[in-house]
Amino acid sequence: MSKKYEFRSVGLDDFILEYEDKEDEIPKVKSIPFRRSIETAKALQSINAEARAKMYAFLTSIGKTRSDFIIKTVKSDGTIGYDETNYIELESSYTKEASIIAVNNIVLRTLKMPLDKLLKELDMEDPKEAEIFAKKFFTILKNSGEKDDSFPRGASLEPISTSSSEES
Amino acid sequence: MNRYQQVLARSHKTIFCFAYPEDLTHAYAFYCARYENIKWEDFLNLGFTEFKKKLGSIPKDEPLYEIIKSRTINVAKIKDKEEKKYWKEMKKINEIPQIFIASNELDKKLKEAVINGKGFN
Repeated sequence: MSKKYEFRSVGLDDFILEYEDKEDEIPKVKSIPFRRSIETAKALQSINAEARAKMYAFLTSIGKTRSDFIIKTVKSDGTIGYDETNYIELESSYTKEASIIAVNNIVLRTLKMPLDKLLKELDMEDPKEAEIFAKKFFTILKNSGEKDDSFPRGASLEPISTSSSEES
Repeated sequence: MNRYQQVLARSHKTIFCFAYPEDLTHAYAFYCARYENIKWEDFLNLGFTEFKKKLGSIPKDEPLYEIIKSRTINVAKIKDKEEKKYWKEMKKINEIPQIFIASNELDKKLKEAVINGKGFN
């Protein structure tokens, strides 16, 4: 059974991870402060980029392009479709690998402790419990608490207008 | 959310990326010019939400504003030839490299390229 832990918000971007530490038989609460910083956002948004860079290097090495992984299909009624399953599978395998590396790095940078050491301190042996912990932690890092959380994809910018043009 | 922001949110278009070094450098320059001159390390340690709020109200005279504008503007709707040419070039110059854009956006581009019979590296 893992130790009880809690993520507490102490500011707009500042949080504390608290858990019971029972060293020397005297229970005490251990606190690790962390920040949802620009650096964390950069690291999170870099996952896809790093995965793709590796994937492109691989594709180049075998003389293929991404469109080679898309299959053109003609249905019985004559309509043309495109099956992207192979490409999506290929990209997701690279993204998974990059995510594992990024998770370790982000935990080390923000909580100042390697992931395996942290899980040990929390007595977290069950992978499901570790997954729930990671989910909660990364939700905090990703969620900026604003309505428009798709930033930078759907940025909350002021309207940009020009005399003879319109937004796309 | 105003109509412009709604359009942007629906389009899921990447208009700024913290992972793209060029964008991050421009954001740093914007912060130093507008708020306080801080070290790069201190900038990276700024609260993300706090910075997003500042970026959300970026003044029109900031170079970063022009960059983002060039990524969102619909060139096809510009009537003036010279202006059209200018924004077309700006769009190309300021384009975010493919590796930094969201998967669903990239998938859409890829699908379009395949349908149009163009290669997509």
